[in-house]
Amino acid sequence: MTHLLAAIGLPYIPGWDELRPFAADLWLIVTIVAVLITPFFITRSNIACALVALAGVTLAFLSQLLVRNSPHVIGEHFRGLLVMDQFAMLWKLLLLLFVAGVILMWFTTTASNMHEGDGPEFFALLLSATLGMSLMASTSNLLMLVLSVEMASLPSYVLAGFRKTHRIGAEASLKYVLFGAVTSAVMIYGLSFLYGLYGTLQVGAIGHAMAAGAIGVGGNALLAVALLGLIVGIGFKVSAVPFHFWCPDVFEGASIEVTTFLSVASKGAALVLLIRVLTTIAAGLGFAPHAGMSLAALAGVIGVMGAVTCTVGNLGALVQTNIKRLLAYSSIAHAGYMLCAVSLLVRHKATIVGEDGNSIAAQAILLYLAVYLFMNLGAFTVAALIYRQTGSEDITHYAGLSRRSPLAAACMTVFMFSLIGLPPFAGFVAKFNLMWVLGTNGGWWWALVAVIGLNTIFSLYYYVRVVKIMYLTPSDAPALNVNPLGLGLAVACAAALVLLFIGLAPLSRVTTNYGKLYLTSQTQQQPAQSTAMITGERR
Amino acid sequence: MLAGIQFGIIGLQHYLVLAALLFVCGLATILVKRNAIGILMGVELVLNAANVNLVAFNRFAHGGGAGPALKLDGQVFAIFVIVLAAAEAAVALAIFLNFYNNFSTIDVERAQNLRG
Amino acid sequence: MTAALLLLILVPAIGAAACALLPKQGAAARTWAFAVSVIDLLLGVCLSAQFDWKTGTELTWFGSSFYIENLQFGLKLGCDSISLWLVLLTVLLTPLAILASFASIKDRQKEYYAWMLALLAAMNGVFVARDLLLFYIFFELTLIPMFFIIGIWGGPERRYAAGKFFLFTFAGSVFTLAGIIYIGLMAPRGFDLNAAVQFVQHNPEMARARFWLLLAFLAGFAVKVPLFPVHTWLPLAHTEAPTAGSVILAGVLLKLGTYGLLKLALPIASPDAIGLFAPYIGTLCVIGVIYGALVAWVQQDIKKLVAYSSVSHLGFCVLGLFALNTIGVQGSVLYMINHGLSTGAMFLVVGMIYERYHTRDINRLSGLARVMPKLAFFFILFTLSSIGLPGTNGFVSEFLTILGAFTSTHLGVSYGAFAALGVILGAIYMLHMAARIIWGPLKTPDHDDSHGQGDAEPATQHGSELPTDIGAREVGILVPLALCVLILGVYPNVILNSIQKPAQAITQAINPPAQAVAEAR
Repeated sequence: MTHLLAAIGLPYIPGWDELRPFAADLWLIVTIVAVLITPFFITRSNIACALVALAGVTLAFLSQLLVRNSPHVIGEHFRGLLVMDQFAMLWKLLLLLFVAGVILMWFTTTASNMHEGDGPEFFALLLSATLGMSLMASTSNLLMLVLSVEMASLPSYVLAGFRKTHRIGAEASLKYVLFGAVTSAVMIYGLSFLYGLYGTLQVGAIGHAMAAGAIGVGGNALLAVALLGLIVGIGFKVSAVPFHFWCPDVFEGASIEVTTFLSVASKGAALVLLIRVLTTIAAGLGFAPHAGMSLAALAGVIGVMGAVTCTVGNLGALVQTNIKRLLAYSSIAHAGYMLCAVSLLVRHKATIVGEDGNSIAAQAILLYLAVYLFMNLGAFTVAALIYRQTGSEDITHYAGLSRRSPLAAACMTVFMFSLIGLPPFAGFVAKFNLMWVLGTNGGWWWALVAVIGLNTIFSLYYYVRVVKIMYLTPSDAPALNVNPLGLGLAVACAAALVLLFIGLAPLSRVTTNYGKLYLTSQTQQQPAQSTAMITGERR
Repeated sequence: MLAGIQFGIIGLQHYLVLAALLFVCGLATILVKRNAIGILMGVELVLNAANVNLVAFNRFAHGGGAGPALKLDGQVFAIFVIVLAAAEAAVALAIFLNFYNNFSTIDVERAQNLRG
Repeated sequence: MTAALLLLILVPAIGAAACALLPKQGAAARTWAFAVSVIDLLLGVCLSAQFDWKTGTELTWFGSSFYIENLQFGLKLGCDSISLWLVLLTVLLTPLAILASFASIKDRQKEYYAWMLALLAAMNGVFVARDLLLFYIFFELTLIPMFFIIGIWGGPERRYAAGKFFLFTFAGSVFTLAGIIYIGLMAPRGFDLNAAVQFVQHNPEMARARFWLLLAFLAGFAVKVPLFPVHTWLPLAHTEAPTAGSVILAGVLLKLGTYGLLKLALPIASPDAIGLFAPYIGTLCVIGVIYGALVAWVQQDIKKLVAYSSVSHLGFCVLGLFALNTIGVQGSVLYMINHGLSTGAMFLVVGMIYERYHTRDINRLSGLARVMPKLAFFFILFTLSSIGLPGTNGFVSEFLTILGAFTSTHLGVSYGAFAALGVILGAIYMLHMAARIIWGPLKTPDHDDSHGQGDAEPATQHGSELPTDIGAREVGILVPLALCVLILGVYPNVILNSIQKPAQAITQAINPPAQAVAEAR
C-alpha cells in the first residue's frame, strides 16, 4: 500500500494556467449545472432553460475568444491529457456558434410543444454532448479520447429519442444506441491493444514508439486490430461507410434541432478528433514510413473510405423525398468529402508554398466545417419552419414555396446551391479548397479530386430538385406564415454564406492561422532508448 | 498466491487469448441476438474483453516494475471503462424502455419503420 | 481608368441587388434594368475608347487587396481585342433583350429583371477575367440566373428544360474545375491566366498533362457551345426560354463555350495535344453542322428551327477554331459576334411573332408580309444574314471558317467540303421557313390557346383581329442589330484587323514558327 502511495505521490491540482485555456469548457460545465437548477427558481422552465443555455454558450464563446492569445495557452495541459492549439480553438468557436444557432432554432421549432419541465433535461443533454464534442478536439490521450467520445455519444442517444411518445423517435434512438454501443466497445477493445503494444496512453508517445520500432509483445496483426478498432469507433461518429446505416434513420426519427445538432457537431467533432489523433501519430513517425506502421496504407484506407462514403451518400440521397433524410444522406456525402482530405494528414509535404501538408489539410477541413455549419443550420431551419407550418417533411410539399414564402425559398436556394458547391456561395470556396489541398499532394490524390468532382455531379440532381420544386412547381397551397425568428436565422445563415464567399481572402487567412496543430513533442513516458530516433515535428 | 499450483506459468498470452475469446463471444452475441438487451450484454462482453486486455498489459508489460516507477495507466483505463459501461447500460436501458412503451417489444427486428 | 473593367461587372451586379428595393408593382423594375444595362453599354463603349486598337495591348486591372496568398488567387481583370468585342456584343444584346421583355414579362417582374442584370454581370465577368479561378466562378455564375429565367418565365416544358440545362452545363464544367485546379497548382504564378497559359505551353514536363487538360476543358466548354453529341439541352432550353432568355442564351452564353475553347483550351493544349484532337473535334463539328441543319429542316416550331440552326452554326464556329490557323480563328471569332447578332435578332423577331400569334408553328403562320411589312423586312434580313448571303455579316465569317478548314494542316479539304454542304442546307431550311410564314395566304391568329403559355399570356385577346405591325419600341430593338448586320457584312475588317494579332498569337503557339511564317506570306 505504501508502495502504491509512493508511486502516486501528491494529488495533482491544476492551476489557473492549466484551466484558463479551457475556459469555454468550464463555462459549459457551469451552464449545465445552471440549467439543471433553473426549474427550482422559475416555473416556466423550458424557455428559461433555453435562455440560460444560450447565455452560457455565449459566455463560453466570448471566453474562448478572450483567452485565445493569452500566454501558455497553446500546448499540453493536465499532464498531457488535453492539448490546446489554434486548431482546437477554432473548432470550439465554431461548435459554440453552431450550438447557439441550434438553441435559437429550438425557439422556433420545438419550444411551443415541448412538454413543460423537459427543458432542463433537454438542454443539459445538449450541452453535455457539446462539452464532449469540444473536448474531442483537444484529446491527445487514449483515455481522454474514449471519455470525450462517450461524453458526446451518450447524451446524443437520449436526444435522438427525446420525443418519448414518438414511435419513430424511439426507434431512431434504439438504433443509435445499439450501433453506438457496439462500435465504441470495439474501439475500446482496439485501443487496449494500442496501449498494450506501446505501453502508453499518450497518442504522441505512441507515435514516437512506433517510430522507434518498439512494437512490444504482439505484432503487426495486433496493430492492425488496434487501428481497425479506432477506425470503427470514429467511423461510426463520422458516419463513414460501412458504419453509416444509423445516420438516415436517426436523422429522420429525431426532432429537427437534434438532427441539425448531430449533422454538424457530431460529425465535425469526430473528424476533428480523427485529425488530431492521426496527425499526432504521424508526427511521431516523422511522416515517414516505418517498419511497424505504414502511413501510406492508413492514408489509403481513409481515402478510399472517404471516396466510398461520399459516393454512397450521394447515391442514397438521389431517391429521398423526406427533407431530413435527404439532408442526412447529404451529410454522409459531405463527411465523405472531408474524410478524403483527412487522408492527407498522414502525409507530409513541405514544398507547397511554404506550408506543410497537414496544416493546409487541417485548414481545408476547418474551412469546410465552418461553411458546412451555416449551410446545414440554415437548410434545417428552413425545413423546420416549413414543418411547423405544413406538418410535412416531404419535399413535394415545398411546391410553390417561392410564392408562399419568398424569403424562405430564397434562403433554401442559397443553401442548396451552396451545398452543391456553386459560386457565388461559400460552399464553392469550401469544396474548391478541399480539392485544392488534395491536388497539392498530387499522385493518387487526384483520384480523390475526381471522385469529389463526380459526386458533385450526382449531388446536383437532388439539390436542384429541391430548388425546382420550390420555384418551378406551381401550387395553390396558402401562403406560409413563418416564424420571424427562424426566418431571421435562415437569412443570417444565407447572408453568411454569401459573405464568406466574398470574404474569401480574410476567411482563408483565418483558417490558415488556425489550421496549425500542436504536435506533441516527446513526453515523459517515452522509452529512453528511442529518443535518438525521433525526427517528428516539434514546435 | 496461486503460483504454488503448478499448472504452468500463466502469462500475458493467456490473458490475451481469454480476452479474444470474450470479444468473439460478445461479437457473436451482438450479431445473433434479436433482443436489444441481449445485444447490450454482448457489448458488455466486448468491453470486458478490453478490460482484461488493459489490466493484463499493465500487469505484465507496462507496469514499470517494482518501486517508484510504478505505472497504472491500464488499470485506470479499465476502471474508467467499467464506469462508462455502467453509464452506457443506464442510457441504453432507458432507451429500450422507451422503445418498449411504444412498440410493446424490444425485438430489434421490429424497428423497421425507418427505411430507405 | 481601367476600373471600367471592374465597373462593367459591378454596375449590373449592384443593379441586380438594388432591384430588391424597387416597388413590387409597376414598371419601375424594367425601367431600372434597362437604365442599368444602358449604363453598362456606355461603360463598354468607354472601354473600347480606352483600348489601344493599333497595338492591341491588353487593358488590365488588379485588385491587390483581394489577393489570397496561399491560393495565389486574385481579382485580375483584363481584356484584349477578342474579349472586348465579346463584351461589346454582350452589353449591346442585353439592353435589347430587356427592352424586348417589356411586353412579354408580366409576372414577377422584379425578380426577372434582377436575374437579367445578374446574368449580364456574370457574362461580362467571364470575358474580362484574367484569373482562371475567377473565370470559372463567373462561368458558373451564369447558370443560376439562366436556370431561373428559363424555369420561371419559360414555356410549358420549362421545368424539364431548366433542369436539363443546369445539369448538363454544370456536369461538364466540374471537369474544367479539376483542370483549373491542376494548372493553379502546377503553374508558378498560380491562377494567373496568361502566366498559366505560358507555363503549360511548350513545357516539356506538362506534355502528358496537356492532353488531360484539354480533355477537362473540352468537357466543360463543349457542353456549353454545344458540340454535337452533347447538344441535346440546347434546343429544349431555347424553345422553352422566354424571348429574352433565348436571345442571351444564343447570343452570348453559347459564346462562353467558344471563348473558353479559344482562350483556354487551344493555348493550353498547344502545341501537341490540340493537333491530336483537332481531327476528332473537327469531325464532331462537321457532324453537328450537317445534323443541326437536317434536323432544323424538319422542325415545325420556328424557335426550335432557329435553335437547331444554332447547333449547326456553332459547328462552323468551332470548326474554324480547330482549323488551328489564323484565318480559321479569325473567322471563328467573327462568327461568334455574327451569330450573336443574327441569331439573337432571329429570336427577337420570333418572339414578336409569338406575341401576336401565340404560336410558333410554321403551319399556322402564313402571309405575315401582308399585315406586318416592317416585321417581314427584318425577318428576311436576319434570315439572309443567318444563311450567310454576301453583303450580310454571316457570309464573311462562314467563308473564313470554311476557308480555314480547307487550308488547315490539321483538318483538310473534306472537312471544308462537308461544312460547305451545311451552308447549302442552311439556305434551304431558312428559306423554306421564311417562304412559308412570310408569304402565302394570310392566316389570322387563332386563340384556341392550345399552345398557350399559361401565365405569360399577353393581355390583349381580341378574337380574330388582324395582328398589328411592330411598333416603335420593337423597331428600336431591331434597328441596331440590323445596322450591325449590314455594317459587318460590308466592312468586316473592323473586327478582323483588330483580332489578327491575338489570333496569330494563338496559332503560332500551335504551329511551329517556321510554318507560321510561311503561312503569313
